Amino acid sequence: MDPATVMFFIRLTLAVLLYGFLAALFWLLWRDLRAAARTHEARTQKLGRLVVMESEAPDLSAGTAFPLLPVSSLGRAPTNTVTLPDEACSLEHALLYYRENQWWLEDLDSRNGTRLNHTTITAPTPVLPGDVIGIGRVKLKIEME
Amino acid sequence: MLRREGTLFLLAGLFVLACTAALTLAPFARANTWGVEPGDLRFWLLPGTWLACALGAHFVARRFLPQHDPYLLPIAYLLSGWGLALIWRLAPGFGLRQTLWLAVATATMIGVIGLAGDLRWLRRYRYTWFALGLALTALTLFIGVNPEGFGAELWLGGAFGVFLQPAELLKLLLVVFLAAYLADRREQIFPPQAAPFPRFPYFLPLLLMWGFSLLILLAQRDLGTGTLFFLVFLVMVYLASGQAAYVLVGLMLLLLGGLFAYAAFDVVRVRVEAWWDPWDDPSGRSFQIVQSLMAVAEGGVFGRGPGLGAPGLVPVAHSDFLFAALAEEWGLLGMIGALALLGAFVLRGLHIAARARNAFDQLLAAGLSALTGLQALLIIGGVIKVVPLTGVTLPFMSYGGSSLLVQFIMLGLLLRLSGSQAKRGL
Repeated sequence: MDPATVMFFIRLTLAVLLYGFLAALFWLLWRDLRAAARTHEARTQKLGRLVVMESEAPDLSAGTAFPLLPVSSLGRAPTNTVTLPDEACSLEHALLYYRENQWWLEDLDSRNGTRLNHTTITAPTPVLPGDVIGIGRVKLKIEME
Repeated sequence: MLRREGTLFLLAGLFVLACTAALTLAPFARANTWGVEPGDLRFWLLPGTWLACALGAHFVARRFLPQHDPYLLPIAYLLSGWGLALIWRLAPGFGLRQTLWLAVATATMIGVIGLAGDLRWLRRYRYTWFALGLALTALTLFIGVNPEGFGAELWLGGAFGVFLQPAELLKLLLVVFLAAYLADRREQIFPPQAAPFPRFPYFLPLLLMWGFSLLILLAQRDLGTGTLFFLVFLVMVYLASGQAAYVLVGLMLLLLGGLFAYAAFDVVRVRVEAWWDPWDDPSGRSFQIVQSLMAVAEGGVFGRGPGLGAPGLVPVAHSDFLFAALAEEWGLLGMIGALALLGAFVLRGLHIAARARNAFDQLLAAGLSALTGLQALLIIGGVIKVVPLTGVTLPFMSYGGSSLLVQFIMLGLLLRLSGSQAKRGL
């Protein structure tokens, strides 16, 4: 084999290695991104969502869903996990948290009180599937995935 | 995480080895017969040194920063190995020196990685560090030398043939200073109520420090580094303030400064005219840029092949015009490969900045990445006549000991910033 042919194969190898490196780099980066997106999704979806059943506030329509965090705050202030723009709702109205494998609802000393199935609660109360949470004039329920 | 780094390092190592094989074969392929002298084979130092450096960096980073970014090191070493192969091919004497510089740079980076504690010492003594950099750079005004014996005297030293260019270090210290100052004072400098104007008393120290460094660089006629300083300053002010108005004003100032420099400095006039119309004086003032353009054209899509072109026709191809040599021998494919690698490096740097814990880490990581990216754009743009030529180095690839050393210190800092993020999701 003459040197020019050998050189041709070396150049081919070099091109394959250079672009192989780049391909590996971008493939790994892409896999990284996908894994990150998946963990992000898993973290937000595992706990379920809070769905609005009834609402009289114009900015909040029935069917709106809020993804839940392990400790989710409910109220009128925009800093809450679940913001409820309803006039009868306090700025920081109630707390919903996941502990001992179930959801607990706690009233944060709100002006109009927090209702669970039409009963105003006074202490942290477990929420069962199908229960209706009433805050101001908004009714909500927890949906598990 | 670390298996990825290993895989990428393996590919990079094979690439460097294949480069060396190509260099060995080049004299035979040129004559297309096995019956010629093999020539100087000292470049086999390259794969050995490269491997030792890469392995050292890989294991030290793994030991001290188990959470570090797995992409930065392989990219940096692939670029440096590739650059070294090009330098060896163009100027074996410089190749030998640069191979030694790679070892020094790796050792320094390992030092940066291994240093105990966080980077608070860098942040706290920002004025001291920056003053030190300024003083060293100012020193070149009085006892500066040029290793070539003529031209701009930007170097210090000369003992045992070692020369250092303090402006390279000042570049890094400028980013550190800006990151530290802006992280502490950004609310005072850019209050939301005074939107388009920064509050002057707080902005002043920043302007002073930056102005000093620009003055020294201007006095030295080191205009490439000066332009780079200006652009990095704009990027960091933009990152800290979030207002594009500063960038627009800054770019206009840069244009004004360019016009002024065009009138005041011969070197600027020559560069701008050579850029605007190189064919006016192709064998004289624009000889270099014309040769570079011809080298790029000669390369075509696939290039002439490593060792088979004639990139030595471009003056100082091993340093400022390395990209022209790359274009000639590796063609468009090689240029795209190099650009993609540099782009990926900057991208990872910005990713580290986006995930950083505090404002200082954020600004430092973003500033270091911006510095690398802008420097690459300036010199590549200069070589292919997109912007006027500015004599800065191509990061990781060009010949230049101080440049490589500082680039690896920056790499070490980026690795530290990525490693200290511990276990956190996106």
